[in-house]
Amino acid sequence: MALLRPPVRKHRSDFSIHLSADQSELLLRLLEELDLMLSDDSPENVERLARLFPPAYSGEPTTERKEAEEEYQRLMRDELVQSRRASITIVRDCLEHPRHLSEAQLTGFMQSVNALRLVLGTILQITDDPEDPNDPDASEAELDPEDPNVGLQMAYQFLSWILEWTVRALTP
Amino acid sequence: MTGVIIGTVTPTEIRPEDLDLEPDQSAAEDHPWVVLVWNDPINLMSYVTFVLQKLFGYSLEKATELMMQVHQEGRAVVAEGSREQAEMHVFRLHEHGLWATCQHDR
Repeated sequence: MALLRPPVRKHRSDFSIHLSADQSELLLRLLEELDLMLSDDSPENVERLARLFPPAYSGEPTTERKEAEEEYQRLMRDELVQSRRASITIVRDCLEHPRHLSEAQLTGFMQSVNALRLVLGTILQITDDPEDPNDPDASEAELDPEDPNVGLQMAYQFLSWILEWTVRALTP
Repeated sequence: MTGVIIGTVTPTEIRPEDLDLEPDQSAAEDHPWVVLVWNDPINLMSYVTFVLQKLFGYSLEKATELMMQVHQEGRAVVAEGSREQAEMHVFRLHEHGLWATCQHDR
Protein backbone atom coordinates (compact mmCIF):
# COMPACT_ATOMS: atom_id res chain seq x y z
CA MET A 1 0.00 0.00 0.00
CA ALA A 2 1.43 3.36 -1.07
CA LEU A 3 0.58 5.04 2.24
CA LEU A 4 2.92 2.68 4.09
CA ARG A 5 6.00 3.89 2.23
CA PRO A 6 7.64 7.06 3.58
CA PRO A 7 6.65 9.89 1.22
CA VAL A 8 9.73 11.93 2.20
CA ARG A 9 13.18 10.40 2.40
CA LYS A 10 16.46 11.76 3.66
CA HIS A 11 19.65 11.05 1.74
CA ARG A 12 23.24 11.90 2.56
CA SER A 13 22.95 15.60 1.68
CA ASP A 14 19.45 16.12 0.33
CA PHE A 15 15.88 14.80 0.33
CA SER A 16 13.39 13.25 -2.06
CA ILE A 17 9.60 13.14 -2.21
CA HIS A 18 7.78 9.97 -3.24
CA LEU A 19 4.11 10.42 -3.99
CA SER A 20 1.92 8.57 -6.47
CA ALA A 21 0.54 10.49 -9.44
CA ASP A 22 -2.86 10.73 -7.70
CA GLN A 23 -1.31 11.97 -4.47
CA SER A 24 0.76 14.59 -6.31
CA GLU A 25 -2.31 15.74 -8.20
CA LEU A 26 -4.31 16.07 -4.99
CA LEU A 27 -1.56 18.11 -3.36
CA LEU A 28 -1.24 20.35 -6.42
CA ARG A 29 -5.00 20.95 -6.49
CA LEU A 30 -5.06 21.84 -2.80
CA LEU A 31 -2.17 24.25 -3.29
CA GLU A 32 -3.88 25.86 -6.24
CA GLU A 33 -6.93 26.44 -4.03
CA LEU A 34 -4.75 27.93 -1.31
CA ASP A 35 -3.02 30.22 -3.80
CA LEU A 36 -6.42 31.52 -4.94
CA MET A 37 -7.60 31.93 -1.36
CA LEU A 38 -4.58 34.12 -0.56
CA SER A 39 -6.00 36.71 -2.99
CA ASP A 40 -9.61 36.49 -1.79
CA ASP A 41 -10.63 39.13 0.77
CA SER A 42 -14.24 37.93 1.23
CA PRO A 43 -15.27 37.61 4.92
CA GLU A 44 -15.84 33.85 4.58
CA ASN A 45 -12.37 33.36 3.16
CA VAL A 46 -10.70 35.62 5.73
CA GLU A 47 -12.23 33.40 8.42
CA ARG A 48 -10.90 30.25 6.76
CA LEU A 49 -7.40 31.71 6.58
CA ALA A 50 -7.46 33.07 10.13
CA ARG A 51 -4.84 30.59 11.37
CA LEU A 52 -2.42 31.67 8.65
CA PHE A 53 -2.57 35.31 9.78
CA PRO A 54 -2.95 35.31 13.56
CA PRO A 55 -2.63 38.44 15.72
CA ALA A 56 0.94 39.32 16.67
CA TYR A 57 0.37 41.10 19.99
CA SER A 58 -1.17 39.88 23.22
CA GLY A 59 -1.47 41.30 26.73
CA GLU A 60 -3.50 44.18 28.08
CA PRO A 61 -5.87 45.64 25.45
CA THR A 62 -4.32 49.10 25.37
CA THR A 63 -4.35 51.68 22.59
CA GLU A 64 -0.60 51.07 22.20
CA ARG A 65 -1.19 47.36 21.61
CA LYS A 66 -3.98 48.06 19.11
CA GLU A 67 -1.73 50.42 17.15
CA ALA A 68 1.16 47.94 17.24
CA GLU A 69 -1.14 45.19 15.93
CA GLU A 70 -2.42 47.37 13.10
CA GLU A 71 1.12 48.30 12.15
CA TYR A 72 2.25 44.65 12.19
CA GLN A 73 -0.67 43.55 10.01
CA ARG A 74 -0.10 46.47 7.63
CA LEU A 75 3.62 45.78 7.24
CA MET A 76 3.90 42.02 7.63
CA ARG A 77 0.74 40.52 6.13
CA ASP A 78 1.98 41.03 2.58
CA GLU A 79 5.34 39.54 3.60
CA LEU A 80 3.54 36.47 4.93
CA VAL A 81 1.50 36.14 1.73
CA GLN A 82 4.65 36.39 -0.37
CA SER A 83 6.42 33.85 1.81
CA ARG A 84 3.51 31.41 1.44
CA ARG A 85 3.40 31.91 -2.32
CA ALA A 86 7.15 31.27 -2.56
CA SER A 87 6.69 28.00 -0.66
CA ILE A 88 3.78 26.99 -2.91
CA THR A 89 5.95 27.63 -5.96
CA ILE A 90 8.65 25.35 -4.55
CA VAL A 91 6.17 22.51 -4.00
CA ARG A 92 4.62 22.89 -7.45
CA ASP A 93 8.03 22.84 -9.05
CA CYS A 94 9.16 19.81 -7.07
CA LEU A 95 6.01 17.83 -7.85
CA GLU A 96 5.88 18.75 -11.53
CA HIS A 97 9.62 18.15 -12.03
CA PRO A 98 10.57 15.49 -9.46
CA ARG A 99 14.14 15.81 -8.24
CA HIS A 100 16.12 15.86 -5.03
CA LEU A 101 15.46 18.80 -2.70
CA SER A 102 17.74 20.87 -0.52
CA GLU A 103 16.90 21.38 3.14
CA ALA A 104 15.59 24.89 2.36
CA GLN A 105 13.32 23.52 -0.38
CA LEU A 106 11.98 20.77 1.84
CA THR A 107 11.35 23.37 4.55
CA GLY A 108 9.25 25.34 2.03
CA PHE A 109 7.42 22.12 1.17
CA MET A 110 6.76 21.52 4.88
CA GLN A 111 5.44 25.05 5.41
CA SER A 112 3.00 24.68 2.51
CA VAL A 113 1.71 21.31 3.69
CA ASN A 114 1.25 22.73 7.18
CA ALA A 115 -0.56 25.80 5.82
CA LEU A 116 -3.00 23.51 4.00
CA ARG A 117 -3.56 21.51 7.21
CA LEU A 118 -4.29 24.72 9.12
CA VAL A 119 -6.89 25.82 6.57
CA LEU A 120 -8.56 22.39 6.38
CA GLY A 121 -8.45 22.08 10.17
CA THR A 122 -10.17 25.46 10.47
CA ILE A 123 -12.86 24.49 7.97
CA LEU A 124 -13.39 21.15 9.75
CA GLN A 125 -13.51 22.97 13.11
CA ILE A 126 -10.96 20.67 14.70
CA THR A 127 -10.82 21.01 18.49
CA ASP A 128 -8.31 19.88 21.11
CA ASP A 129 -10.50 16.98 22.18
CA PRO A 130 -8.59 13.71 21.54
CA GLU A 131 -11.90 12.12 20.62
CA ASP A 132 -13.16 15.03 18.51
CA PRO A 133 -15.43 13.44 15.89
CA ASN A 134 -14.42 16.18 13.43
CA ASP A 135 -10.72 15.39 13.78
CA PRO A 136 -9.67 12.68 11.33
CA ASP A 137 -6.42 12.26 13.31
CA ALA A 138 -8.22 11.72 16.65
CA SER A 139 -7.77 8.35 18.30
CA GLU A 140 -11.44 7.42 18.01
CA ALA A 141 -12.00 8.93 14.60
CA GLU A 142 -13.70 6.84 11.98
CA LEU A 143 -14.47 8.36 8.62
CA ASP A 144 -18.14 8.26 7.76
CA PRO A 145 -18.66 7.88 4.00
CA GLU A 146 -22.01 9.66 4.36
CA ASP A 147 -20.42 12.71 6.01
CA PRO A 148 -20.37 15.63 3.53
CA ASN A 149 -16.91 16.52 4.87
CA VAL A 150 -15.42 13.09 4.31
CA GLY A 151 -13.36 14.31 1.34
CA LEU A 152 -11.85 17.13 3.40
CA GLN A 153 -11.22 14.74 6.28
CA MET A 154 -9.34 12.35 4.01
CA ALA A 155 -7.30 15.23 2.60
CA TYR A 156 -6.50 16.33 6.18
CA GLN A 157 -5.31 12.82 7.07
CA PHE A 158 -3.23 12.73 3.90
CA LEU A 159 -1.55 16.04 4.81
CA SER A 160 -0.92 14.85 8.37
CA TRP A 161 0.83 11.78 6.99
CA ILE A 162 3.07 13.82 4.65
CA LEU A 163 3.85 16.40 7.33
CA GLU A 164 4.83 13.81 9.92
CA TRP A 165 7.31 12.20 7.53
CA THR A 166 8.65 15.57 6.42
CA VAL A 167 9.37 16.54 10.02
CA ARG A 168 11.08 13.18 10.57
CA ALA A 169 13.26 13.69 7.52
CA LEU A 170 14.26 17.22 8.55
CA THR A 171 14.89 16.44 12.23
CA PRO A 172 18.66 16.12 12.82
CA MET B 1 50.31 51.56 14.73
CA THR B 2 51.57 54.97 13.73
CA GLY B 3 50.75 58.47 15.05
CA VAL B 4 52.04 61.70 16.60
CA ILE B 5 52.38 62.17 20.36
CA ILE B 6 50.97 65.59 21.23
CA GLY B 7 50.89 65.38 25.00
CA THR B 8 50.34 63.26 28.05
CA VAL B 9 46.91 62.68 29.50
CA THR B 10 46.50 61.66 33.11
CA PRO B 11 43.55 59.34 33.64
CA THR B 12 40.86 60.81 35.91
CA GLU B 13 38.42 58.60 37.75
CA ILE B 14 34.81 59.50 37.00
CA ARG B 15 32.22 58.30 39.47
CA PRO B 16 28.67 57.54 38.27
CA GLU B 17 27.23 60.14 40.67
CA ASP B 18 29.37 62.81 38.97
CA LEU B 19 27.54 62.26 35.72
CA ASP B 20 24.33 64.21 35.21
CA LEU B 21 22.61 61.45 33.26
CA GLU B 22 19.03 60.28 33.26
CA PRO B 23 18.43 56.56 32.91
CA ASP B 24 17.80 55.59 29.29
CA GLN B 25 14.02 55.43 29.40
CA SER B 26 13.65 54.12 25.86
CA ALA B 27 15.94 51.17 26.57
CA ALA B 28 14.13 50.41 29.82
CA GLU B 29 10.75 50.42 28.08
CA ASP B 30 12.00 48.37 25.16
CA HIS B 31 13.25 45.41 27.14
CA PRO B 32 12.25 42.74 27.75
CA TRP B 33 9.49 41.56 25.47
CA VAL B 34 8.43 37.95 25.52
CA VAL B 35 7.39 35.71 22.64
CA LEU B 36 4.55 33.33 23.42
CA VAL B 37 3.42 30.25 21.53
CA TRP B 38 -0.22 29.34 22.18
CA ASN B 39 -1.86 25.96 22.11
CA ASP B 40 -3.82 25.17 18.99
CA PRO B 41 -5.68 21.99 18.11
CA ILE B 42 -4.33 21.60 14.59
CA ASN B 43 -0.54 21.75 14.59
CA LEU B 44 1.17 18.42 15.14
CA MET B 45 3.19 18.14 18.35
CA SER B 46 6.18 16.85 16.41
CA TYR B 47 5.91 19.82 14.06
CA VAL B 48 5.82 22.38 16.89
CA THR B 49 8.85 20.73 18.51
CA PHE B 50 10.75 20.80 15.23
CA VAL B 51 9.95 24.47 14.55
CA LEU B 52 11.13 25.49 18.03
CA GLN B 53 14.39 23.63 17.43
CA LYS B 54 14.86 25.14 14.01
CA LEU B 55 14.06 28.77 14.83
CA PHE B 56 15.62 29.05 18.27
CA GLY B 57 18.31 26.37 18.21
CA TYR B 58 16.83 24.54 21.20
CA SER B 59 17.86 20.97 21.92
CA LEU B 60 15.25 18.28 21.29
CA GLU B 61 14.73 17.99 25.08
CA LYS B 62 14.18 21.74 25.58
CA ALA B 63 11.94 22.07 22.51
CA THR B 64 9.87 19.08 23.65
CA GLU B 65 9.54 20.59 27.15
CA LEU B 66 8.29 23.88 25.69
CA MET B 67 5.92 22.10 23.32
CA MET B 68 4.46 20.12 26.23
CA GLN B 69 4.08 23.33 28.24
CA VAL B 70 2.15 24.84 25.32
CA HIS B 71 0.00 21.72 25.06
CA GLN B 72 -0.75 21.34 28.78
CA GLU B 73 -0.77 24.94 30.04
CA GLY B 74 -2.05 26.64 26.91
CA ARG B 75 1.04 28.71 26.22
CA ALA B 76 4.79 29.00 26.77
CA VAL B 77 7.39 31.73 26.54
CA VAL B 78 9.79 30.61 23.84
CA ALA B 79 12.01 33.69 23.55
CA GLU B 80 12.55 37.19 24.89
CA GLY B 81 14.37 40.33 23.85
CA SER B 82 13.74 43.77 22.46
CA ARG B 83 10.42 44.57 20.79
CA GLU B 84 12.01 44.37 17.33
CA GLN B 85 13.52 40.97 18.10
CA ALA B 86 10.23 39.69 19.53
CA GLU B 87 8.27 40.89 16.51
CA MET B 88 10.70 39.21 14.14
CA HIS B 89 10.44 35.95 16.08
CA VAL B 90 6.64 36.20 15.87
CA PHE B 91 6.84 36.72 12.11
CA ARG B 92 9.06 33.65 11.67
CA LEU B 93 6.69 31.59 13.83
CA HIS B 94 3.71 32.84 11.80
CA GLU B 95 5.57 31.86 8.62
CA HIS B 96 5.70 28.34 10.03
CA GLY B 97 2.02 28.40 10.99
CA LEU B 98 2.39 28.56 14.76
CA TRP B 99 0.04 30.71 16.80
CA ALA B 100 2.50 33.15 18.35
CA THR B 101 2.29 36.60 19.88
CA CYS B 102 4.60 38.99 21.68
CA GLN B 103 3.94 41.20 24.66
CA HIS B 104 5.76 43.49 27.03
CA ASP B 105 6.86 41.52 30.09
CA ARG B 106 5.80 44.08 32.71
